[in-house]
Amino acid sequence: MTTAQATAVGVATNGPPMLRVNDLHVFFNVRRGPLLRRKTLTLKAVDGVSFDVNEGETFSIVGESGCGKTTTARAVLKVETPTSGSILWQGRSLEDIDEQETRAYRSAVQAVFQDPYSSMNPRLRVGHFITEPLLLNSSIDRRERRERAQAALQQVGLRAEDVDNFPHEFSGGQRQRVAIARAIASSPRLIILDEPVSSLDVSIRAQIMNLLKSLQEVQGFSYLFIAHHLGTVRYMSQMVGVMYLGRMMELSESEELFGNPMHPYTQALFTAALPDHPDIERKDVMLRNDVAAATDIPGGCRLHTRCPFAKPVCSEVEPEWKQVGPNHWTACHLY
Amino acid sequence: MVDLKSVKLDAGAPNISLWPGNAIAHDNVRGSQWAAKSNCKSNKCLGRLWVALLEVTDLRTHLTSRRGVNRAVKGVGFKLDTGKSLGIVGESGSGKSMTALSILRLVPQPYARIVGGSIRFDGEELLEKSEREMRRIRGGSIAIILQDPIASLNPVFSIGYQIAESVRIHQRLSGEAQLAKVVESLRRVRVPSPEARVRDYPHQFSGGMRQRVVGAIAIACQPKLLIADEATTALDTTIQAQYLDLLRTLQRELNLALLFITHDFGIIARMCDDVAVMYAGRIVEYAAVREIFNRPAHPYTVALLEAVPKVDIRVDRLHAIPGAPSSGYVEHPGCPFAPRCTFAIQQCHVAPPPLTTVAPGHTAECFRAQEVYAGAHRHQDSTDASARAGA
Ligand SMILES: Nc1ncnc2c1ncn2[C@@H]1O[C@H](COP(=O)(O)OP(=O)(O)OP(=O)(O)O)[C@@H](O)[C@H]1O
Ligand SMILES: Nc1ncnc2c1ncn2[C@@H]1O[C@H](COP(=O)(O)OP(=O)(O)OP(=O)(O)O)[C@@H](O)[C@H]1O
Ligand code: SF4
Ligand SMILES: [Mg+2]
Ligand SMILES: [Mg+2]
Repeated sequence: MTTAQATAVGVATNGPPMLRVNDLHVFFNVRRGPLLRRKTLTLKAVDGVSFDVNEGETFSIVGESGCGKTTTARAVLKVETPTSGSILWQGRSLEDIDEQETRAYRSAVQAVFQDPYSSMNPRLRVGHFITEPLLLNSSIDRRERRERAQAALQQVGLRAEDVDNFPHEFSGGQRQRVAIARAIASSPRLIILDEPVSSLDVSIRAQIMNLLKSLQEVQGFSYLFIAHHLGTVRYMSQMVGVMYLGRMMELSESEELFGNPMHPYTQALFTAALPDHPDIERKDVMLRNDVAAATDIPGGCRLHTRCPFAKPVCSEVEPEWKQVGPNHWTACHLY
Repeated sequence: MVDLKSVKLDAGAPNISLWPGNAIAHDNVRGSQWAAKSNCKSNKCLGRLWVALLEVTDLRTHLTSRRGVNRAVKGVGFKLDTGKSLGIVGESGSGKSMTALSILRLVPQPYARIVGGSIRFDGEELLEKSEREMRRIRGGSIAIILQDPIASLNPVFSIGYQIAESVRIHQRLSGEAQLAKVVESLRRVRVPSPEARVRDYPHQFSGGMRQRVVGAIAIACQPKLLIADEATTALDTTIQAQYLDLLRTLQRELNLALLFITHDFGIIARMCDDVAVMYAGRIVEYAAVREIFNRPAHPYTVALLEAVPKVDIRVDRLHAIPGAPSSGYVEHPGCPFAPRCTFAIQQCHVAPPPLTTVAPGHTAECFRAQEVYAGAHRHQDSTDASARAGA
């Protein structure tokens, strides 16, 4: 069922997907409970996620804290090993590729995170930080690395001379530009953006989002964009996937999703989203209770404990993935 | 329009700068109560007066560090009435938290100091109170909820104990009455089965419930004013929506005055009657919430509203504000926003902009406020947004 979804996405957008994530599961063993009666539990961080990222497009994952967005991204970055399911890069499973291809993959896929400062060494000039991904490619010598770093800095709106500055000499917004410079220095195909603007001030946030958009237009990067702010997602994306408790609930072309959200969870997210204007009234879909623990995911539809529309079948059977419109899929018993 | 620069204020009052609060006090009578008898102790009124619950005038708070003096709050003024909610919105470092902490006289010691102004609460001057009196007021008639609910709860005490603790400081009650009070405040914040949960510890609550417990502590002593400083920023979207609803309900039930501090215009849109926009330690614009969204009069407000990506409409390009926010260490001879402002003219860089009243109760500190208010320079898509919202 999930493969059918992924295939359908590929067909609908004409052309082979650059990245395909197929029925991905990532589980962790965690020890929980009172000190002496501690038990090992399975935490299902990602529990059935499929999507495609197409060339030159932005696919966004939206969902609340702990729903598995970062874990999905880390699996794509080959930092986390899938418990099951597969990740295909240009049609080839990441499990099957050899060491050399892995190196090429690592330079083709880059990432920018929410807090770039924590990944920078405060004692090294940012030139080092920016050119680190280039070390994977032994044909690039030191001089060329420096030139590439300078070019990248200029592309992100900083000065070439800034290569010799230290991280603390930059403001928060400038540091995020440095992180983007690092991501683009190796001429990647796909950049994973995990909450890249969440910690920035409103005025700086717009600068960085516009920069990301122009870079995409000029250089054709694909983005896997992770965020919880819906306006940001709408601004950045062609396709959007909505995750809840490790699973994809709805996947759609972006404007279609914002115009016509189908899944109760998506509707609840939209209801809860802060309004752009005091007069905006939203369709009123409120969830009950708090989100369940990822170690104890409810059976049937995992939203049924909170869903205002739940029917008896919802607590029994996990809903199938259904196409509900061109480029629009959801998993819910209402459809 | 009245230019407040031309309004004569009491000559005896020292250091009177033209702050938005003045304009509100005398132009805007919406929802205010006129005082029956003149018990005005401020000597600053122009005749009739109304006494707001909270009246901040020309507040100045400085922080001293190795880098020099940081003028974090540079002459802030506003009024807030019982049952009303005022939002202070601005970017990081604009002085929002310092303003809130100054009201409670909780600015970080020893390097922060309130160097001027007045804070009248319930008819009394807070800046003249002793530390002992202030302790009674904090958590009593003025409560504050901060961003991090986990940090505001002590993990080793049950939540019932922690709520009772705050009641104990302010009210003398028997053990039974105290427990009843604790249960009642938990019920008010919609914690399910409060009688059973008073003995639970913070870790036994989910994030959203913990924030409710912090809310229960805040309202346990029936405050008149509740200050929420980024109180919902750390919460998830759906939990945040529930919590904001709860605060709105509590405000109505308890007739609270709410001072909401946030960097998010969405929270302002959902929660506030009036809005003060802060930049570099000053309130640069003040108006009723719909005015701010429909007809902003300060270029900074216009730019901020246009820099936010919208949930309800498709925006193709955001209008980013160039540069970065100004720091309190830098003294500007002119408008602090001038280096980033697309409206700036030559005088913006040399003289402080006047406080301009563009409509009753709507003020902006800008040389070109009238033009900006007229909307000639507004970008297309933001006009669409308000048109759509109004529809
Ligand atoms: N290494 C790990 N070991 C155990 N549990 C983990 C690990 N990494 C993540 N988790 C858990 O997996 C779940 C998903 O986490 P993840 O970081 O992917 O969420 P997220 O959607 O990125 O959330 P946020 O919006 O807060 O960043 C959470 O319950 C988290 O606690
Ligand atoms: N504890 C502190 N010690 C020294 N300086 C401080 C302290 N807290 C704040 N400041 C400084 O005071 C100024 C105003 O800060 P304030 O915390 O009021 O800003 P804010 O508007 O609340 O910002 P934010 O949105 O980031 O909370 C800033 O320049 C800040 O660096
Ligand atoms: S006073 Fe001048 S610089 Fe300041 S906001 Fe107005 S137009 Fe811009
Ligand atoms: Mg994450
Ligand atoms: Mg603050």
